[in-house]
Amino acid sequence: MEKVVVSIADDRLDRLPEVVAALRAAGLVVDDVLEALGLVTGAVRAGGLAALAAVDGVLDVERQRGVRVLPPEGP
Amino acid sequence: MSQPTSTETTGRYLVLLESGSTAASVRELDHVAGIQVASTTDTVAEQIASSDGLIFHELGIALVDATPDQLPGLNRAVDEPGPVLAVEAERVVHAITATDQDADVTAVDESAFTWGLQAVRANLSTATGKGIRVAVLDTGFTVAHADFVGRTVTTSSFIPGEAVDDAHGHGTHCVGVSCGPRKPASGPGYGVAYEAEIFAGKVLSNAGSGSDGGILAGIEWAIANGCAVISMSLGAATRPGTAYSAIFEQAASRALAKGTLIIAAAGNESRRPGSVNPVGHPANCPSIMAVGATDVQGALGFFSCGTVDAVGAVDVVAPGVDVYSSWNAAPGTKRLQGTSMATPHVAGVAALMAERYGARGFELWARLAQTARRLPLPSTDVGAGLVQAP
Repeated sequence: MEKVVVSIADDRLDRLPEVVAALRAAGLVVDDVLEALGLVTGAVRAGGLAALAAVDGVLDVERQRGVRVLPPEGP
Repeated sequence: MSQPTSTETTGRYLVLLESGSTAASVRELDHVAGIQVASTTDTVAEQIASSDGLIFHELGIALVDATPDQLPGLNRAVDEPGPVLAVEAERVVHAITATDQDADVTAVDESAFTWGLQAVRANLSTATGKGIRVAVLDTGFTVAHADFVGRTVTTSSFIPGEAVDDAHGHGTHCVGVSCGPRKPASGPGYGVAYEAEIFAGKVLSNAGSGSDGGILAGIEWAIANGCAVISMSLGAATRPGTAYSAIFEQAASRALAKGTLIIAAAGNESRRPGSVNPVGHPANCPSIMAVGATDVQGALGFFSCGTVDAVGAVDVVAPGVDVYSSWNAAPGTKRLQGTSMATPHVAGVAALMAERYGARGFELWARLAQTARRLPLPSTDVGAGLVQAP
């Protein structure tokens, strides 16, 4: 499974649950629905990103990046 | 007439005219001083050459030759009703010569306040951050820290299986710089917005790592809680030419529209003077304010990422070398360096501005950039310059 973030188009934000249901049907295991940001986070099987991107109302799909505390640490 | 005393003048005069009164002005200049002006819309070169001056229509200004006996008539016209509003002697202007600015090498007295608070002039501001909510998304916070007794602190962990308590230390340091105390039990005051409400979101594990999903969840939490400012001393290095995240850009843009400004560390991947590396993810998004780091002498930190591509600009800088703040372990404070330390300085100043002006979102961004102290360094490294408290 790959961790992904999906962004929803502005004109679909008022019907977010429908889009989320469609994302689930397209293979997304939802972690979080971030309503204020119009984003959905979750995981999808390898190679499943294209199916999510094809869902009506989806703007972008990105793989989640690893993010770290920034080095250098200490004086 | 305004007569510059110390400036070199040409002997010609600039006449400010009432807007939309060109024809009347031409007659008036002839009438009051016998000056024949041509218009820049005149196409006949001889007409311009034979005249005593020119009218710039778009500007509503005439540039005229006036002999000493014509000048009194012009000056009278300013005082009398009519289209002539002002007369100034035309100045000679030169290209501005760049001069070296001596670095301020004065050692800073840190007995009362850290050098960072002094550099952003937070110690001189009457704003405190009171009533403003500041979210610090990092490795969590040492909730029981003695320097934060009595403070309003709201926490949430977005790291599965880890409580918000900061076993790393980085988050506690960042909370300290942005919102810590001015009069701790010992040592200098180190917090910029010392009466702000603290929202400490743990989006990085105790090992110092996290992922996009947790950060976005933290941003959502901060917006839902009405935080005016989000401070993110985190990131992932990027290579030159890498596109920014369309999704983070959208999130940041939606956050701005909801009155929440996201401020993020530019990154520490440069090794100056030899190598300058680009602003990292997610600070490279246009709608996220990217922060570089300066030292006590106003020089750029050797590690501070720079503007390498057409997008991914450094927007402002703040103190990020030898920064004293709270820590998760004894003795409770520590000195660190990095754009991680510069970022909460900007977040704190943003909170002071949010309080002082009621500014939110893009207005807050504009005020930070507008009032930043310009530095004699490339804009690609420092953006608008060193942020300054209101």
